[in-house]
This record gives sequence, C-alpha cells and structure tokens, in this order.
Amino acid sequence: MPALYLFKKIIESIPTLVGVTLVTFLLLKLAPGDPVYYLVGERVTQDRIDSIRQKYHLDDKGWGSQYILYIKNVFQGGMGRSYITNKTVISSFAERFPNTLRLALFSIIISIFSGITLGIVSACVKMPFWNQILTFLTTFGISTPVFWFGLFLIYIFSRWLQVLPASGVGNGEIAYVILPAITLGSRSAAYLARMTKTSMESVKEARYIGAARGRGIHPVSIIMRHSLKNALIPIITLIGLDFGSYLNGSVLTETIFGWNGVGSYIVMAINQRDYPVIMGGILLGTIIFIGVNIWIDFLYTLFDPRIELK
Amino acid sequence: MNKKIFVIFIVGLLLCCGSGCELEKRVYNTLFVRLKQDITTLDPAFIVDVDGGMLAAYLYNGLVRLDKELNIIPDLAEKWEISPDGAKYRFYLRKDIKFSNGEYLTAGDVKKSFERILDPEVSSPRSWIFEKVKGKESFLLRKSGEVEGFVAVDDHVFEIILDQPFSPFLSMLTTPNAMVIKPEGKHGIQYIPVGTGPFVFANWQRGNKIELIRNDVYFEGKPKLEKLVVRIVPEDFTAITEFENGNIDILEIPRAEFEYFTQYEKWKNLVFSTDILNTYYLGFNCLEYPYSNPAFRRAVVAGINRDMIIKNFMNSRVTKAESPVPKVLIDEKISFNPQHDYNPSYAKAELEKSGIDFKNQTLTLVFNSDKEMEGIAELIQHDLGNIGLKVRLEELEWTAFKEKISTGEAKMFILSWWADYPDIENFLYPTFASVNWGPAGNRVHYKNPQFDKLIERARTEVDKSVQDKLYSEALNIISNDCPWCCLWHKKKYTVVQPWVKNYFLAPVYNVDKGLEIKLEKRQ
Repeated sequence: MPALYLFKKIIESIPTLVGVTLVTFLLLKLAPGDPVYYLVGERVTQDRIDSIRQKYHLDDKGWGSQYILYIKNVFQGGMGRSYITNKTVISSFAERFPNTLRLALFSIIISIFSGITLGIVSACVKMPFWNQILTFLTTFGISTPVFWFGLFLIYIFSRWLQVLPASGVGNGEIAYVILPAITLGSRSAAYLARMTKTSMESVKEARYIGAARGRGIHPVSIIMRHSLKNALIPIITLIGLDFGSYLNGSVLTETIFGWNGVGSYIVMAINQRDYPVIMGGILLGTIIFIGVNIWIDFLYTLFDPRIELK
Repeated sequence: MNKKIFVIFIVGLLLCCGSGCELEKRVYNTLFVRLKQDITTLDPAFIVDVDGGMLAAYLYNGLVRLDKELNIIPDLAEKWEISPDGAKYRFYLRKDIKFSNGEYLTAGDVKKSFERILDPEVSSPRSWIFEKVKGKESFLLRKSGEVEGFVAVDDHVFEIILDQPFSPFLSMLTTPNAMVIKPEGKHGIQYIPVGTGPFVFANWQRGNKIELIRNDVYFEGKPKLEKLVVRIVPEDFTAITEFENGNIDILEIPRAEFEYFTQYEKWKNLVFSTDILNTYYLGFNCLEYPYSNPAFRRAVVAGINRDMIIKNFMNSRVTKAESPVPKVLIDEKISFNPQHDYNPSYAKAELEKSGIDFKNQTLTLVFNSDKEMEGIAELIQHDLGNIGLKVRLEELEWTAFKEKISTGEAKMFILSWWADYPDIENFLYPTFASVNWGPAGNRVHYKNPQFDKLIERARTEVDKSVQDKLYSEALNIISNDCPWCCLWHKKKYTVVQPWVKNYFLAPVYNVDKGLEIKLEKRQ
C-alpha cells in the first residue's frame, strides 16, 4: 500500500533528521571559530561585538538552549536567518536550488545516457580491442579528479575552441550547463557503465534469455527488454544515490564553473561560520536525500513487480 | 518504454548541442568586473570589506571624497569650513543633488544617515568613526533621540561638532561607512538603500552577479558606461579563461598567473599596478613571555631576512615595509628611524641581552592557511632557526585563525592591517594605542604609556608642525620596541582589456566613481 508505505517512511525518517541536526550542531559548536569575526572586520569596539552576539543569541547560556531554539525555529518553518545576509535560510536556498536542480538533472541525464549505453555495448560486444577501449574510458572516468576534468573541459571548449561559456549560470541558457554537467556526470557515468556491464553479464546466462533466443526474438529486443530490464535494479540504486548527492550540491564543480548552487553556498557558510545556513542546508539536504530514496523505492516496483512496498 | 526514454534522451541531447552554439553576444556599453568572492552587504553601515567599499563608491557619495593622489576633495559638500579650534566642521551641500528616487538631498538626510551609524539598534560595527562627535554618549544611552553634534543648520548647511579637535576626522568622512543614504527606517544588513551615486543598484544574485545601472541624473554628469556588472567567479583559472575570451574587462591578476600577465607580449602593456594602503606584519603578543621582552622582539625582527623573501619568493610583487605606515601617508617633515634590518649578529647579541633561555623554547608561529603564506612562514622559520630559535608552524583556517588571535592564544602570528582612511593615524592609533587592545586593532596587546600619550596628543593636535614632530617620536618608539615585525605593503595588480579606456588604479578602493571609464570596440 503506497500511501501507508510513504507514511511509514516519513515517520521513520524523523529520528534520522533529529540525529543529523544534533550531530551537525555539535560539530559546529566543537569546531573553532566565531561568526562575529566575519561580520565586524578588523576594527570594532567590544560593545558592538557584544551587541551583535546578543542579537544572534550567540552568548546564550548553554548549547542545550541554543539547540532547542534552533529546533523551535525549524518547526516554525523558518530555519532562522543567515547571520551574514539576514535573509531567511529558506529563501537563500530557494534562490540557489533551481540552479542545483538544473545541474543535477543534466548531469544525471548525461550519466544515465552515456553510462548505460557504454555498459550495454561493452556487455554485448565481444571484441577485445573495443572492450579495452571501454575499460579505459570507465577507468578514466572513475579515477579522474573532478577539478582536473573541469579545468580540462574549460581549456578545450572555452579557451581553445571558444564554443561554450566557461562560467556562470547565464540567464538559464543550456550552453552554460553543458560543461559543468559533463564534469559532474562523467564519474557517475563510468560507474554506471561498469555496473550495467556486470549486471547484464550476470543475467545473460539466465534461462529466460536462452528461452527468448529460442523463440526467435530479435537480439536488440532481448538486450533492451529481457536483459536490461532485469539488470536495472542495482543501476537504479546507483542513479538514486548519485542524483541525491547532486541535489545536495557539488562543491568542486560549482566552484570551478562559478555555478551558483547550494554546494558552494554551504561551503561558504562553513567558512563564515554562518550556523543557521549550515544547519538549514544540511537538514534540507537530508530531507532531499530521503525523498529521493523513497522515490527510488517506487521505481523498483515499477521495474520489478516482484518487489512490494510494505 | 525504454525505447521512448532513449528517444527522449537523444532529442534532449541534440537540443543541448543545438542551443549551445548560440551564445549571447556581449555588448560594449557594459563593464564586466570579476570578484573572487561575493560581498556581504551594500549597506554603508555594515561595509567592512574592500570590495563592498568599492561598490559603495558607485552607489553613494560622502560629504567629501578622495582623489587619485589621496587629497580630500568636495563630494556632496561643495565646500567646508573648519573652526580655528578644529572642533567644528561646517559643510555647504550642493543644491542640485538628487537621490536616485528623485528626491533632493538635504542636510536632514545627512544627519539621519550619520545617526544611523551610531544607533544601537542598527549596531553598525563602524560606530567608531563618529566616536568624537558631541552628544554621542547620551544618544547611545538613549537619553536623547538625536546626536547633538550633528546639526542640520538649514536644508543645505550641515555642521558636525566634536568634543575636541581630531585631525583624522575629515579623512574618516571619506570611508564608505560615512556615505549618505536616503534613510527609510531601520533596516538590517540586507538592506540596499537609495543613494546619490553615479550608478543605481539593479540586481544582486547572491554568489553569481551584481548589476548596477547608470544614474542619468548624477550631479557630476552621467557615467560613460551604461551598466556595470560584477561577476563572482571563485576559481582563478576560470576567471582567466573568461578574461582571455573577452567576457571580463578588468581582472585582478591572480598570484599564480603574475608572471604570465606581466611578461606575455599580449598583456604586459595592459597591466596596471599601485601601492595599496596596507601593512603585513608578524605580530607578537606583548603580554606573553618571551615576547614581552623588547630585546627578544628586536632579535626576531633583525633575524628575518625580508629582502630575500620579497625578492626570491614573492618576485618583488610587494613593497618592503620600513615602518607600520605606508610611505605615501608619511609627511616629508616626519623623520624617524626605520625598523631594524636583517642583521643576524645583532639579532644574536639582542637575544643574549634579553636574558631569555631561548635554547629550550619552542616558539609557535600561527598563520592563515594559504599556499603563499605557508612558504613565507617556512622561510621565517628557517631564518629564525639560523639565530638559534626553534619555531613550530601552525596553519589555521581563517575564522579559527581570527579566533585564536582574538583570544590572545596566538602569540606570534602573521596578519595584515588595511587602511580605513588614508591617514598616518589609522596605522598607529588603532594598532598600538593601549586603549585598542584586541578587536579594536591592537592585536599584539602593546602598551607603552609614552607612546599612548604621544599618539593621543598627535591626533588632537591642530598645528601641523607640532603634529609631525609627535608622529616622528611615536614612529621611533615603535621602531625601537618592535611590537610588529613589519613585513611588506601589498600591491594591487590588474590587467584590462585593450578596449577599456580611461582606466586608473588608485591606492584606495573607493576613489573611483566610474565616471570616466569607457569601452571602445567596434562590434
């Protein structure tokens, strides 16, 4: 019963969320640093420092009361305001999330398309030379650091060929998203290719494939409908995990391409010790991750009717 | 179903490629400038950083401002008078000044803007710029609803009355914090006020870009640019690519590419540089043993080979510091002994003289994590090793570093002091007067009653020749006591596109109003 399942999952996620906020809060409090120093610059009187502390409840009695204050804020829907910009955390993220979503969608599309295609080809084609090429490509994709690959793409496509912009989100033009999406998606594409290949190979020997062949079904149809569909479960899991993490922002890619997403924003907030933003960002990220996971569970049932959500 | 998905992917990808080829052509009435990091605020009450101050100069005006040679020139006030006792300033405002919302500027707006800086509810970190204004206390304690020392005599005459004469005051009025806005109630840091400047705020996508458009009714004539766009590009390599591709017009040269831009034929004639007002220093916490001993501090200062570090490690990109004060701010009549130069034998002698058992001590040098700083710290460690001092390095992330300095836990550290206003006082009073211990600027907790007395007198002295003498004496005390080992003054280097005309680089970030600069390129 999906509705019941959904309800159960949501209830189950509450301890996770509380745990995440608690751990984040403790880590922030244990880390050295103080947001006030970021706000006041190099010359300020002690009175003003004290009054800013008071304003942000930074001098509250204990960590306990600060944590309770935060949780209260969350339940009132606000998650508080950024110390640095005084904007609500929600609106700060709302400003950047569309960018992150766009990048995540494009990356995952690129990685699904190229990863699965490569995987199928390498599982079905039996030519040592091409198999080696494909192994090389996937090893390359997995082991290349994101920052190196990003700079490499910028060098080729922006500086040398001058066909794609090097940075920024533009006014939403697709051209701006291509390089970051390839950079971000390449790694996951390589993993997907490997996963698809092994998955497909494991079902290749299954008896129903032999039966399908015997019935004279077209080889392409066997690959797409019989092998791939049955090999999809681990692939979907991987896609879900990657997509969830993309939606939480991708710091390196965002920094290299000046992409104004949530990942670089959280890192900036960490540098500035902007506690409400860090807490809010991590909480929202967890919620998104849980959401994506539930969604993936539904996808399982779609591709494999034997799986039931209880 | 899978086939359908595949077809959608292929069509989608083709679409991506198709639209990717048509990039928006850039226009040459808009200036693109790059910043590495977004600014915090555009509200004059809260601006504490250089980049924010630079943009504030485009949006707002002060009563007075600085020209390229750092002279104080009229801005909103066409002229001003200072009373003979130096405690009363009378400003005559221009009558033709309009805010960008169309309203005329009056002395009442100036009064409200200034009171806002002092207002405890606003809690601006820069309240100290008006610390000498009469009636400040009773306003802060809410005994009075206004500041007595800010007087709007009529619509176009504004007076400031100080408790006592204060020589850097006019210079303080050039800071972004003393810029005048149309005050509309009390707002927080996110507020972007209405100003009188040559540009008007248009749009700010945090973390991405800030757009300003020309103010057509600006009182000094409208700027030649139609629009100014600040782009936030965190990665240097990406910024350079954007610059090479002509999408950024002015680029502050990243350290790693210094040689490329200054030596490559295509760019080397388009590089600009200027001394900017700052001093990098090695600070000693003067309260802590062994740094509390002046002879020990002198030994450390004389033990560091700054010339070598600057020439061989920093490619002479910086100017060596002779004293805490950058040279441009030191009047010709001020004469003083510069800080001890590299002299290992003198250093060793001073170490012996200090009577400190340095052989069993390990000193800790704290610095902010940064590739270049790391190298500098290692060189300092090496130099001090040569005179027999053991040094341990501790590298910290910026906020943690700041905290360690503020709590006094860092006993020897590398830090910099940046000018708020171009006056010698700004490099001596906040940094070394004992009333400013801690966050007010005296990070080294230096205290010398004789210096305190001199600097207090110097800043209130009206007679210039007496003042010069006081500053000379004060500088000598610092050179002898060595609370800082003054390292260097950082310079600023920018490179501009060939089509950028009338560009200049000033020692202070808020000199440029963006009136002259223009782009000339046939499209």
